[in-house]
Amino acid sequence: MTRARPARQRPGLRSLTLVRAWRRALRDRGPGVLLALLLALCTAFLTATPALERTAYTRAMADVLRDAAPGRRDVLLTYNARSVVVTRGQFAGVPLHLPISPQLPVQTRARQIMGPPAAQLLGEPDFSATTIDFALSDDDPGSSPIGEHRLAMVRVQGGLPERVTWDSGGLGTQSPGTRLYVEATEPERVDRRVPIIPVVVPTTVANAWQITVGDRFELAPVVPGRSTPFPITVELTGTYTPTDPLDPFWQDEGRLLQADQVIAWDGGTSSRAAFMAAPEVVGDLGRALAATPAVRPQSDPDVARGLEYEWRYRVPAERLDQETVAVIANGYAAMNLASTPWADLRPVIVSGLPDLVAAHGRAVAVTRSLVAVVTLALLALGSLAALLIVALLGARRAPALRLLGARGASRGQLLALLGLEGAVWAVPPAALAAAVSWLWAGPPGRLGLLALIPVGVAVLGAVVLAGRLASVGPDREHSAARGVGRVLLEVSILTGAYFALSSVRARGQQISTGTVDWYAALAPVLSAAAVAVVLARILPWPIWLVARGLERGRSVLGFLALARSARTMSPTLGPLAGLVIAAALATLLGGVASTIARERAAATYELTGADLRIDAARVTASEVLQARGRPGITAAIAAYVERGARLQGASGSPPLPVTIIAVDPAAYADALAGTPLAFAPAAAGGSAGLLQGLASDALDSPAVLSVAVSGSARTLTIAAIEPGLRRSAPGGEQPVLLLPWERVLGGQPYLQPNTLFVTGSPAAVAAMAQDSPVALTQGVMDRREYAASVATRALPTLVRWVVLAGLLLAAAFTALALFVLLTVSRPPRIETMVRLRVLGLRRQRVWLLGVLDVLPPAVAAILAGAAAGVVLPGLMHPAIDLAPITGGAAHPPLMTPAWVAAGTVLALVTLAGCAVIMDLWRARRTSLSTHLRAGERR
Amino acid sequence: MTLAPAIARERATEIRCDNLVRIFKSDGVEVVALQGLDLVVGEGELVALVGASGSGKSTLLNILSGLDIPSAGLAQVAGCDLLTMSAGDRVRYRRHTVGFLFQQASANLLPYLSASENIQLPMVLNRSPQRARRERARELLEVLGIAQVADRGLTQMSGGQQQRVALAVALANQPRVLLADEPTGELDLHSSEEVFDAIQRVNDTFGTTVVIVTHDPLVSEHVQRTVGIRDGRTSSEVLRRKAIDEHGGESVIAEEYAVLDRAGRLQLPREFTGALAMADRVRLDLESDHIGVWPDRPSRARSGEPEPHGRTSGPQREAGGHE
Repeated sequence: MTRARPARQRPGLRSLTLVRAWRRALRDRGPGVLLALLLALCTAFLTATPALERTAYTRAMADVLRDAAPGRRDVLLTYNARSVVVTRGQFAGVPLHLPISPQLPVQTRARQIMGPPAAQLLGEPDFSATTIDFALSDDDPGSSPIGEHRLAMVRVQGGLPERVTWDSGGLGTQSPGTRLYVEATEPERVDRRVPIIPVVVPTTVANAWQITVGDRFELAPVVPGRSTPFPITVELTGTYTPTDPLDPFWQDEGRLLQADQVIAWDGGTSSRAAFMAAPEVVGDLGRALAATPAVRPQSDPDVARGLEYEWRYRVPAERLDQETVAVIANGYAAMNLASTPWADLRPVIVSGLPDLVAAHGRAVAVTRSLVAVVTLALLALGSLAALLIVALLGARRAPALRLLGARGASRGQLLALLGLEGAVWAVPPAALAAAVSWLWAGPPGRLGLLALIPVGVAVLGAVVLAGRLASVGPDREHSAARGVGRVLLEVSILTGAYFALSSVRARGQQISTGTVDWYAALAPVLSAAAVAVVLARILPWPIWLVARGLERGRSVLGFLALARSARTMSPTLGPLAGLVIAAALATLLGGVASTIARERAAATYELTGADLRIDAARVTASEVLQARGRPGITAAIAAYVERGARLQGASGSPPLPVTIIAVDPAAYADALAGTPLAFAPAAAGGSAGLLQGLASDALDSPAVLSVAVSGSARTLTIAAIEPGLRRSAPGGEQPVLLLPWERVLGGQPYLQPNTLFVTGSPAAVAAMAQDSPVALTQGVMDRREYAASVATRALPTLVRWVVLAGLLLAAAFTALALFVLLTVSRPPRIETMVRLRVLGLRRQRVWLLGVLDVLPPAVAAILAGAAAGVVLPGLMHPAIDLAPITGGAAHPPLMTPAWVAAGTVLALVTLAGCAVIMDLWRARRTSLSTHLRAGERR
Repeated sequence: MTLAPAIARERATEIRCDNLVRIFKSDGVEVVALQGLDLVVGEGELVALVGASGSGKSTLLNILSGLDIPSAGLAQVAGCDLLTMSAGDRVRYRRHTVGFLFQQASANLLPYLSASENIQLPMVLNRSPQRARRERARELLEVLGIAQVADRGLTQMSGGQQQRVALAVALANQPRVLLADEPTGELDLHSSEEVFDAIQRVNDTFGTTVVIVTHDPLVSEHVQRTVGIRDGRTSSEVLRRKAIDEHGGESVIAEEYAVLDRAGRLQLPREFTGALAMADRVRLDLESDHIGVWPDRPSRARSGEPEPHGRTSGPQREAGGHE
């Protein structure tokens, strides 16, 4: 059985109340729905942005830590005890002193100094001790195939057995024996019996070097000196294969996994490996490296010498956020500042973490400034738009309110009615948008309270409007007061804009690196408002002049439309101001977006120097040819790149660190033609004796300079300055010197290229990045991949979202301002249209009236806004540093290209044109007879 | 002395305007809409205000209805001083003392309410009990002959019905004074008659004092008293009374008076001054029973020509009087 639905109660039978009666007015919901949509959008933006900001700033810290060079975020304590004080004498028969490892004493003191919170976060460090690189020779010639060009160091590091599988033998913890060393050094002879050190190597090294468990080797300093350790003997006790080569355990020393190659001065190569020893043998190792008789008094500290000790506190990026990083940075600062607590074991404490924190702080400050600019601009636009819509709503409700007033409604009742309606349209959509935003992005925080402003403006505007409608008598005659009020408002806006821009210019640097200056962030919107003020004052004149011109040209329709537009501009000032601000904001954001895109491309080019850069120990000619032969590759140019080369100018002045790029200038210039790195190669040349180079920057130095290329001094002159040669690097920017490769080679024929610059299609370059043609590749950097990785970082993503949302909202506000403009100007326009049609104007020509009535001021407002948007980046430049967003150099030039401004104007004018056409289409449907019959009721 | 105060003296004075001034300021320019207007309306009277556009009729009506405040002078309605009244008093005044009828029927009614609800609305504002509201709405609809439209909306009624509903709305809180601004201005003859009949019925039935601004001869020539307003002052009055001739036939006698204000100012009808080319100044001659007004023609006086016989501004018999 189904229950019958009760019949809907007729309105007339229900008890009538004022609110119930007014609720029926809500059926006329056009402006209300518009207000609801506007406030929902505004609230969603204003509440979501702080939450997204917070998340982005946390993620940005993770980005910074993740992108930091390996080990840069770690806190590293090093204690260098490599120098050895040689004690002369006959010690073959006496026991040697057994030194200790400083591992635990330093760890304990570090924990105390940094404090429990930091110690808890950092945990236990990875301890290691390493010797210098020794030349390797066979302890018993003939027993193993070790020959020349073998270098090895001994590294003591705990935790090895847990991370390897033993292919043969194992890690020895006790010396397998002793060896007598006799050193005949005039005037004294030194002899000593020292322990043999058990060591292990990766199986890959054992195979490459063809060594096996049980082999003994003598490790001797390559260049013996007064403070170098004594030669030692090691015995291979095991070979291993890492269970996880990606384990951070292996990151500090690549030779723990495999031998590496070093290029010798003569162009040959040497193979280097690391022998691992157990922490238990530190004492024996120290006794072997710096043999001192036990009977001799020891100099402090009593730790094994000949070694450099390292405590590495690893900081996993995934465990860190802004707060924990700050705690660790504080602990780091405490360790660095402490002196007495370290006693005689003060290590050198190094960490890139404070720099990373500072870089993150700068990036956050910059992003915050930019977001604040957009947020405040949209807040102001939203509030203005809310006010305009409320004014429309008030105009719709004015007859009813006046009638109620005439029937005895009190001022309070009228205020309550319109205020309530304003609240009904404003509060629930805003609350809903805030709730959705909260669920989507997280709690908005205190900044989310800004969303209350447009809502408050809407409700308060409705109340004020109702108050004005309810006023009687002389209170209504406020035209003079309105005039004064307008002047005051204009003066306030102009003054506010002036001081905001002054603040930006005076404090720009502080703003871009410090806290957000909300007043300065208002500068764009205040400036745009100031432009609107000026436009409102001067626009009637040119329109009037054009109208007079049309009158002389016998275009009556044009004259009527423009003359009316010029004379009755006051009601349209609000929407026109909205148009100016929206156009300015859209152009400014377009400029920001284009600057970010341009600078990011330039930054990635400056970082890589081509589409792809392969850094290697050596790049051979065959490898270059092989690279060029790959499909899709347009150029592959080998170069010798040396960063930090010393450029010596005038005598007495300190050398200037520069980056040298020795390359074929013409080929490199061809490859970079059309990119931000394009340069003219013609001036480069000279001879082997006097090189002619190109410099990226003007160098304050004499004509003839000296630069150390791979340690050899070369003289050169700077033939030209080419800004396209600027390059960036993680360690900071350096001036770049481009030298002609052939001439450099003329003076240093053994020099070999160590970099391959490649250009080509994205797919070919990506394929080469995955499969480098260079055998001794040390690093590969793909420009496009890097650009993509920068773009997906938290802060660029946030800025992209904010800019996109800002552009969309600016477009929406433009549409809204146009709608209000058309609505406000429609009644008199239709009146004129009808009159002219009564006088015989053909219906087909009516459109001209609408177009000339609305479009000229709208287009003027859009143009003025766009002009402001073009100028604003230059004014805001000191306060907006886009470097953290572009990944490039600090303070890239912020500018709006002409095509962006033109595109914005075109888009907005098209929008305005469409709006006018739609309005005319609506107006065409107006029946002349119906309109005339309506009479004064309209 | 004019006859109007004499009539007013017969009844208690309901409306008194004395030297009423209303000055508007528009774009810095002062516009004097009322410049010392005098008017007295007795309780229960039905008075029509006529005058050219811009003469100040609607301004006067807005002041009397409490929608506007005079700049100077005296304006009293039912004992309420409209010049010094507080905002709260003004609201109470609009609720209880006056009812206002706008020219456009649609401006009198909220389109989304039925006729009955529109009538109840002023009582809702007055916080009258629901039952009383319904009773009053029904009573008004019946008295005005439109009971059948109680539940109809604005668009479901004719213009005459709309205006009669609007009349009911204006009378909802039983005001002592009904002010109507051209209530028949947008209606056809039949509807105008219906509305005017309704207004007369209200005047008769409830004893409500009625002031109607009108251009409609149907109205202005069928009320006992028509006050003409010119240039912000009352300029003339027409009083009508019924007379029975020797054959027992009934006719309406309309007598037009010029209004002499307290300062002794008198507005001569324009057609009078035009006919005698009076401009700038005139000569006055005080006779034993009248004052003579002569054109300023000193040449005639010097030449000894006989003075022309002027027309008096005293009571004139107006032929007919029916429209």
